[in-house]
Amino acid sequence: MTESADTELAETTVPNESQSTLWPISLGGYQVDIAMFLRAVGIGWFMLFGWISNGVVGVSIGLVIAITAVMARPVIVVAVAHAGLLILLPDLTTLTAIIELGLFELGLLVLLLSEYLLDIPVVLLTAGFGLVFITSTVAVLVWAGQLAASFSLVFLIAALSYGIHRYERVSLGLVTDETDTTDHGASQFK
Amino acid sequence: MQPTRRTWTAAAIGVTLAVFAPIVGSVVPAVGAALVLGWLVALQSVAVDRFRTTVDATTISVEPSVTGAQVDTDIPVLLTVERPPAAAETTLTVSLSMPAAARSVPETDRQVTLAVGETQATTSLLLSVPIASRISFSEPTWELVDSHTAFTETFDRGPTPTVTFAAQTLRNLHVGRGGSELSAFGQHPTDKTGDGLTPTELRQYIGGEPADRIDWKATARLSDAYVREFQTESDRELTLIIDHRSQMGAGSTDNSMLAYVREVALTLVGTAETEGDPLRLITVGDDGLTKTVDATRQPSGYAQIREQLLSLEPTPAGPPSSSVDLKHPDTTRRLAQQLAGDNSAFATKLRQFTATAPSYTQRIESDPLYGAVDYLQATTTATDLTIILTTDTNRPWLRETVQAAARDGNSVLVFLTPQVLFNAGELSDIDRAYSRYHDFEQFRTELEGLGPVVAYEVGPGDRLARLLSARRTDTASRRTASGGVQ
Repeated sequence: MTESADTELAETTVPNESQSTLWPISLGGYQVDIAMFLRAVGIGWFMLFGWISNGVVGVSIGLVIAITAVMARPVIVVAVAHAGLLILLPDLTTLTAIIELGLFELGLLVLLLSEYLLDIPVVLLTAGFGLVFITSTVAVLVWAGQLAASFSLVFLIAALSYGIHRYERVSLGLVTDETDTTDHGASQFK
Repeated sequence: MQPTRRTWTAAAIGVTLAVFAPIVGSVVPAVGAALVLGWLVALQSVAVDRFRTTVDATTISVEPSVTGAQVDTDIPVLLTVERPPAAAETTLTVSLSMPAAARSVPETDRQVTLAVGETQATTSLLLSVPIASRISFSEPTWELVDSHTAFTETFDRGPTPTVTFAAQTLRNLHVGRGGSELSAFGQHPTDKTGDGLTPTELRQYIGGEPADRIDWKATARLSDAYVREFQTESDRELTLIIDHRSQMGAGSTDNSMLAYVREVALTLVGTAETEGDPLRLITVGDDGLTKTVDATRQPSGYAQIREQLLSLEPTPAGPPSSSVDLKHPDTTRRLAQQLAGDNSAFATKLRQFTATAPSYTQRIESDPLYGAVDYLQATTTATDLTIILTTDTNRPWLRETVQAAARDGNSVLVFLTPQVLFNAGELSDIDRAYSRYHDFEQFRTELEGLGPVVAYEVGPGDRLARLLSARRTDTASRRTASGGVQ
């Protein structure tokens, strides 16, 4: 067998040179890992507003979150940060507190998006879904209380996720028409 | 679509936050849950979109180098996966499952993976099957992973090529005439002389012929001008008519009549390919023609014919025929003669059958093998050599079929599997078996008298040798016994 034939038969892969990636980025002549950059921005943002709203306590909580971010995945850090927010924002009855919560969440959104490769469609959809879910949760909270708000949120997202899953199965042609072969089904055509 | 472990972890965190909210009496954990779960829904939506793009744009090919081979032969199979750059935002792994009968191949050798950004990958594996069979690959398995490794999808889709593996050559194949083995078959001298490569004879030079045709050595030797004639080379158009009706299933599974005629047919295909002769194939089942391949001299055409031959199985037998089977006019006539003068109710009833029996012409035209010859003559202007491979089960109709094939001086080659060599227990009564073989031999000779027809017997050489040897021993012992009495 010739060398060219060997080359043909061997497993080959052709990379796509036009692959778009935002990872890493160039910043001031330095290559910066965008995940680290986003985490720094998210935590810095959180500490800044912690300091503005609660002074030393806010900064301290920010530092605890920063230390957690070194050791754990961003999604875990976001969960821990919300525990911290319970201390920073004990009362959400004022407009100022709600605005502060929104600003904190912005920083945590940036932190959350550093979990995976930065992907513009994911960023936009996360912002969109996040806004819709938060609004609906607050709306149910005001209308029916805390317990109903939590359950409705989980149920809504589970239903939506299952719907997307079914849509995927159908659009990929993985769902076949099932024929009822039982006697009951057959009798309908008799 | 299945979430990965990381995704399940994130979902668990989101649900925990949601549950935590009413416990602590604050909306803050619920907001966190909305953020985390919204992010997961976003990842899922993007993954679905990219899976769709990948599946729609990706092409997979599974290409065995040949579609037919003998058992234990390694056949390279090429698995190629291609997708455009726009559909390269997922990790795609395509695995090929080996058919159950095939020898196992390591998974890494039958799998290709396209990472994010990669557009084409190819791998080759060697397919080998230890038993004669017709195997099909199952659909390749796709495993898609989105670029965030958050979701996966697995399903089977793609081509399912088939490769036919035939048994090794039958070891005891006998092809011959009157019990004598034929050393080779398939070659076909044209019996005409002229320009060519194979010298045949010398003849005296005739005035006016080109001088370059003179054989100078012969002329010098014989002191007169001589010309050497060569055998004319020509391309013969061959037609293979192979019978695979239920009757061809006689014999053991591996050594049926069909297995023997298939072996002969494969040899003839090989010879035709070597000689570059155009070859046509017609296969005949119980209900008529089952497959026709037009005359071809392309390698792919010979391969197609080979594949068809390897895939032939005896067709299922029809329902049992009526107890009064008047297949041939002779039978009908004999029965009518026997019933003449008999006025019993039984005879009267039987007479009705003789009256309503289809005419001979109707019956012979309904014979699938005769129909194949009829079809050949109706669809082609001329075929140089018709080769019929069948058995001698229905001799009267076979005679008519061969006669029809030899019409207008067409050459016919007949390969017959004698029933006596395939029926189980037939050789236990040597006298009866030999008598049947003798009948067959007479029939074979009779066929050769129908015109430019050559008929060969095809069957298990060991059984034929045993039959002839037992007969010789039996005859010798009888002579000895009769000599002793005298």
